[in-house]
Amino acid sequence: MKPVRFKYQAPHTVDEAVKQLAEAGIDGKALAGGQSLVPMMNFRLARPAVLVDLNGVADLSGMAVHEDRVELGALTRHQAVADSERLRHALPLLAEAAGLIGHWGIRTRGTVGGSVVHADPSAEWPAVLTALSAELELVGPQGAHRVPAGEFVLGPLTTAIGMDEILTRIHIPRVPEARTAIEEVARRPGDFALAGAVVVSTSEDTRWTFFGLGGPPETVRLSADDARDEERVKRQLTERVAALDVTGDMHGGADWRRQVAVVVALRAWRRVAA
Amino acid sequence: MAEERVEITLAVNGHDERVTVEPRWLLSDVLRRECGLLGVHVGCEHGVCGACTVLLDGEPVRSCLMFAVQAVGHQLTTVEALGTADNLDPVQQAFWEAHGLQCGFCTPGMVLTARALLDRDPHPSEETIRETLAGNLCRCTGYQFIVDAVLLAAEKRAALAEGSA
Repeated sequence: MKPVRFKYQAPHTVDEAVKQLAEAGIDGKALAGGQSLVPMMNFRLARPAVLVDLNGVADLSGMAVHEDRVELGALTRHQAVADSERLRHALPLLAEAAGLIGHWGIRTRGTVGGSVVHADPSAEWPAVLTALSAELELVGPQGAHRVPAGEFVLGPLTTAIGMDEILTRIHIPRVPEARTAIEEVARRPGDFALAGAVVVSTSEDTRWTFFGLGGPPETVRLSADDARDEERVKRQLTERVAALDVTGDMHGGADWRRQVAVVVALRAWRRVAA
Repeated sequence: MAEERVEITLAVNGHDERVTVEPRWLLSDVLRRECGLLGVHVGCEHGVCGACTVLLDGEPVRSCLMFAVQAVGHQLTTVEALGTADNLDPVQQAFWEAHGLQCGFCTPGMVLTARALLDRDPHPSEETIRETLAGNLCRCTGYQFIVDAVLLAAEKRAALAEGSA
């Protein structure tokens, strides 16, 4: 299993990368950490004629913690997020989520931006960034613009990004009073989540953002009043999850996944409610 | 498309290897074919089995999920750098003594991942070892002896560190 031949480009700046992608058009593909794209290329499911390797673009890496927000370069590796003490302090959900992704040898290469743009339904980042109301900064030939994370993923492996655009930075607001947690069920630590839930709870409401259900992240919101006791939360979550569009696969049918979704949602909720 | 080849220098096991590659060649293949490092075992070629694990700047990566051209400027370590038959690395010695291998196919990836783990966390718990090695598949041992080997390796390294202090 080897990839087909491609033209390899290694730009150093965002502008160069955008230009190369624009020139390549539909035959081009941006390479970030490669933990999903390279397997697809090895299987020849993906056969880009031009591969634009973003790993040498300095502007895409680095993280910054500000008073009101955290900024992640799109090329930040999962392991760097998991290991960052500053980030763990500023936005603990990020480090917690990063530790759930793949295995160590995957996290050292895989990137936050790559995961979001790949938009695998079982990926943690699209759900986490949706739950935290993050904004994604996209740069294309027409310049930069921002898209709310919750509007970015359109379906399985499908996002709002243009063919000639790259995701450069991720802006995540800090909500110090919010309590957060993420829980998922997978066959082994590091395997694809069969269902997962991110919870963000404030004095106003509690929101669960689900992943691993087959489509884009789905958010369920309950008012603080409705999210008081476990019986009530469980009943309402069960009803709301029953209405979600869920896809089954060989690891579990749609109804089984709905049940697991409620289980992980409750586990996460117990942690923020305690 | 015409075959495009580029000349690159890879820093492997402490020395520079000058190789001519196609950009599409996987790092795993280049390490084996061009550098002769047959300790890089190629199992699944899609990042699942961990047999091709090498260290990139000291951290484990799947060499089947990188192109060799991407490794330029990084320090690569393969199992060949760890020890010799007469002078095994403590991790290798521990795998031997604890029977942490049978067929040996997964072993280079296991040993390198364990080495990187112990460099980062000299006294990992059994749970940490199990979670860390979950990214490396073994179809022979049932893992118990591999976990034992890593625990033993931690002891050996601690004893060596004490001896040299």
